[in-house]
Amino acid sequence: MKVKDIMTKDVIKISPSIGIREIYNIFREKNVGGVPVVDNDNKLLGLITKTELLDVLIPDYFGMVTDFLFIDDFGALEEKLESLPSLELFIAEDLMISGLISIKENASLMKAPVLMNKYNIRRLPVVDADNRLVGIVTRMDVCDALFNGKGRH
Amino acid sequence: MANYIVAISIFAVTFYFIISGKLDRTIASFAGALAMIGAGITLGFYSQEEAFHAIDFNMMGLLLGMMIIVSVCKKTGFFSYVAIKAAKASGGSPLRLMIMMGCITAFLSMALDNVTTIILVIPITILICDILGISPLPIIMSEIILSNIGGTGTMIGDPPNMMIASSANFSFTDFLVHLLPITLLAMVISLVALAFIFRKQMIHPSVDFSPISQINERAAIRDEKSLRKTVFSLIIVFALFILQKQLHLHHSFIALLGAGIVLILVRPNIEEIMKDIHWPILAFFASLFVLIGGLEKTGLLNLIAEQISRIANANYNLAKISILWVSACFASLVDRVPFTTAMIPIIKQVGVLGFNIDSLWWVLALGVGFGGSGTPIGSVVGVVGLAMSEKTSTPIDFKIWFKTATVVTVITLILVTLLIGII
Repeated sequence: MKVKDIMTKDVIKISPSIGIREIYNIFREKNVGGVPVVDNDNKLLGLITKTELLDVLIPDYFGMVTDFLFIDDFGALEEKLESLPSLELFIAEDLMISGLISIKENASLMKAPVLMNKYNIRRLPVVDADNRLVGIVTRMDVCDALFNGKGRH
Repeated sequence: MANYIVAISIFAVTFYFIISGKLDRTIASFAGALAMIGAGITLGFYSQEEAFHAIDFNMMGLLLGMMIIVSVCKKTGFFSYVAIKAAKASGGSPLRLMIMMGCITAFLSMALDNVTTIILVIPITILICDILGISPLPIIMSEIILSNIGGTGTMIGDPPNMMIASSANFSFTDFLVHLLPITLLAMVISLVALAFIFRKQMIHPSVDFSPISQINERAAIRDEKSLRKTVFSLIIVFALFILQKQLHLHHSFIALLGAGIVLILVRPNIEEIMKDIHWPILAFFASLFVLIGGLEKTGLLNLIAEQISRIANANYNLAKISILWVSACFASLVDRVPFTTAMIPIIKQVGVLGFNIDSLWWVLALGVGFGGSGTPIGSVVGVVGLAMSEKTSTPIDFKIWFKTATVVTVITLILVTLLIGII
């Protein structure tokens, strides 16, 4: 079985210039965990999940702080975050994971769980030979294929 | 003459690659060392045995031992604990916070590795400043400057001091007697200067200190047992360093003994500890020793030593002042490690020519140590600190650096110049 046999073909995708609030609304209204970002030519540019949405709130340097579990009250930092004036300025291009791992539509079904578990990712954008987005495959899609013995139709 | 030209060309090309950053400095110095041995064998000025003996294994053992102890120590959460403790003691005053954070950075840099200290202290400083709603810039600046000054104060504070200790056969207590007092004085003067330079940022009337005062700093300690064992090992190391002369122990033996004790007591994952060791730096040092060793064997460095002796003959203090400022310039503009490596055989030769060179060693240490803050590229601490500040809302740029750190560096060097007679 190929990846294209089990993937979801009807994908919600966005262009790189979409604003952060609109992205939030997509997560709010459609029941999806991640949206691929594509250019006008439908070529895959990146992916945004809720993690990327939350990352906007975290200052850059937090990655360097070895441990902050012992701090409960973020004081002035929290006030600054709550009234973040620049929040609305973020667009999909700033947030997306670029250089992400995708899978070719003609790849064997087996490759999807291998990639997902190796890189700890929940969903793989599926692309054609020209890197155009043709679908998305999630962990559940793979499970469905395994346990029901057939792909989604 | 051919020896001179070949050796100095190899040295110059290597040096160019080291400072221009066109090649990784370890790879550049490694290639340079190999070229120097090759040329030495061909022209007959440097043998393979001489190259091997040029490597100061005593200094490298000292550095490796301390790196292992630091690597175990940093996993315990000790640095965060100290930083939070200092922040709490500041009571929310930006001035007191700058003094407290600067001083703990200096003291940690004296006892442990400067770069590790900066890497662990600056992020927690930014976080504390953000929680208080004050600018972290003056505090980061004071941490960088005081890390370089603090590192100058002890034998194990900084690699140049380790090299000097090993070559001049100075003990830990020699450094405490000759460098620590002037280092402490330089710390005080730097903090006064920084308080004046940043006087506008130091006025901050409405700081809500409660989020900081609520932090339980003991919770920052991830592994109290390991921390106790590390502190115990460090106490043994310092005790042995203090008794070094009486016990006739090598610097490297003491540091490696401490590393051995800490590894046996804590039993960390050795793979992880070894990953933390800066092997490229050790390889860089070994390569530099071989490279400079070749230069020394040509007799070229003796010519410089003769010039210094000539100045010293006329006026000994003038020779000291020259070494101080030349060292500081090299440290801030080029790279203090190759410079110190090259200065060591030169100063030794000045000693052979009949001068008391003890104070020349101290002046060299002060020049390269304090000079490290002269420019953003003068020390690894500066490079790392600057990169970290870029992630804040008030990044440190070259202009701010020159208006603050360079000024403070010049002040500390003037201080040393004024006291040159007693060094």
